[in-house]
Amino acid sequence: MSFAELPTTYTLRSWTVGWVIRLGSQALFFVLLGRLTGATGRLEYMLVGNSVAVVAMETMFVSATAVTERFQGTFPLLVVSPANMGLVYLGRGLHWPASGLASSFAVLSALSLVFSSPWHWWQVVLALPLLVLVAVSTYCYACLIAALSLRNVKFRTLYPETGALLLTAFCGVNVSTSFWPEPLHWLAQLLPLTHGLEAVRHLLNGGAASSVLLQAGLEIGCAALWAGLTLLLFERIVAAGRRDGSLGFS
Amino acid sequence: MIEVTELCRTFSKGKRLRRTEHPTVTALDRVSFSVPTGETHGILGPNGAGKTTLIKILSTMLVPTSGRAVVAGHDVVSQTDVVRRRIGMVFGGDRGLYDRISARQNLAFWATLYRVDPRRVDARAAMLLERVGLTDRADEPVERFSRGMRQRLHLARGLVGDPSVLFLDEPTVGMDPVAAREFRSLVGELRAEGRTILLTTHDMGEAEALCDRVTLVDHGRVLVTENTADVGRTLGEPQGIDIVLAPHQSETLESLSKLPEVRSVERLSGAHAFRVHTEPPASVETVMRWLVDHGVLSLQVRPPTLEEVYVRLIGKRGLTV
Repeated sequence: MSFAELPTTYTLRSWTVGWVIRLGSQALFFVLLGRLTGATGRLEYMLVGNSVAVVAMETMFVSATAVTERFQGTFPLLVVSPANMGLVYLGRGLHWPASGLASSFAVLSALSLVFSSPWHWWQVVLALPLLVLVAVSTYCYACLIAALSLRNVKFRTLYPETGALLLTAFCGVNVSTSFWPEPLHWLAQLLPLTHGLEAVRHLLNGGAASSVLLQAGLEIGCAALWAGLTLLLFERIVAAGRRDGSLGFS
Repeated sequence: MIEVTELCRTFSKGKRLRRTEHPTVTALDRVSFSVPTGETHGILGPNGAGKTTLIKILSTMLVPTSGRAVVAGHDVVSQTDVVRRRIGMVFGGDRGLYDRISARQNLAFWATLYRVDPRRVDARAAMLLERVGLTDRADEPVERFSRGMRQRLHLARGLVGDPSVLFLDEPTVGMDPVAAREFRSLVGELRAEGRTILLTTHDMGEAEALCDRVTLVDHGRVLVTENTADVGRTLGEPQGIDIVLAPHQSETLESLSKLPEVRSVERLSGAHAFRVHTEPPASVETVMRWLVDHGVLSLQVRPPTLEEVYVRLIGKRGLTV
């Protein structure tokens, strides 16, 4: 179902010529800002951060997919089906992390080439499994945002925008997590993207395998945390909707 | 198959504020009725009568404030999961389908959610598409479908889990007469299969054509539950007379129309056959005597139709859709 909808969102041409170039331009903007600062390694730091962040941005579209269920009247039918709502939604928008993964990899590869980055091409290929991990963890987080949007449809734009802002601001995309005050630094440790991005940086900078694996493990932990919270929230939203009558047929 | 006992549902008006009493609206007020296995049961009532609230509770989308509802032998509050596996839900209107994908993909998705064996999902979708006459359009995006086709797909979607109880919430609303007729024919087939069907509708013809029994509701209360064929008896008085005039009795017809007790005379399909509507209904006897005195020998007192019962019990507002 999820992947059946993908061709109705993008064609191969609109994805490559339109979407990836648009994302690449956004990442390029920040990379050029990094170059303007003149600080050593700042360009590479922002190149990796913004390329990996692409996957997080695209997974956030699951929120729009969820809200569409409200508008097209399928949400109440999902509620009265025998399926678990949380699991349905975790599967419902899987095309977004898949497409985000492809976009992120394309942007990372292209910008690495354009800026003659110090890492090898095979290191970029090796980063792919880590990007998959980031796609999964940010998708679980985005599904939680989707649940909030479903409950309060009038905030359907605010929630995903805020969710995306939290990730790009605090998870080490443009500045290190240590830049922020202590409470925000700790918040970032619980957010998806932080550890996955750190793992990619370690890999591309030739860091020890153990540090790559440690960060990858922490990212898996974050994915599990956000998946659990998403399932719990969907259950509570459906229960509240059944109590207050907000789950309309039409 | 469906047992509803003293079912109540109220809704708070406005936002819930701490330590504040909220005015409430009563959508269902001690509603009780039962639907035996295999029966097609109509719930009739005007907008806001509580029909959709009732369907929402029975389909597990809403919890009742008090009372009990049992569907397919299981409580809708405490055994929600079991009930959901045994019911199908179809509502009217343009919504409830994934427009950008095909009819086949829609059904395959829902079949997966209804835990149809993955090896049988494609076959099930194909069988349902065949059943509702959409095989030729199975792989087109649903957004290209007409209103009638969408509703047939909706019905197929409702049948994807092979439910023993089917809820149809105003399924033909907004459909053109031909499409509505086709849809009713499909529902008639399901009825013949012995499925239990609960249908809400504004359309009296639809209720008469499909339902074994009907329940009239208004302001959240049950007014009457009766066999569709016998519902006219609830008024306890005839509403008019069907007559057949001889060809030479055209003057009699003219005089009849001018009687103060006659509201209108309607021509029926047969030659020289007419339906005399009396006002008040109790004046049937007076009019009958007049007809006999004027040599009309073929006449039959007609019990009230479902629509007349509906209008009498609910009032004219009930016909406003």
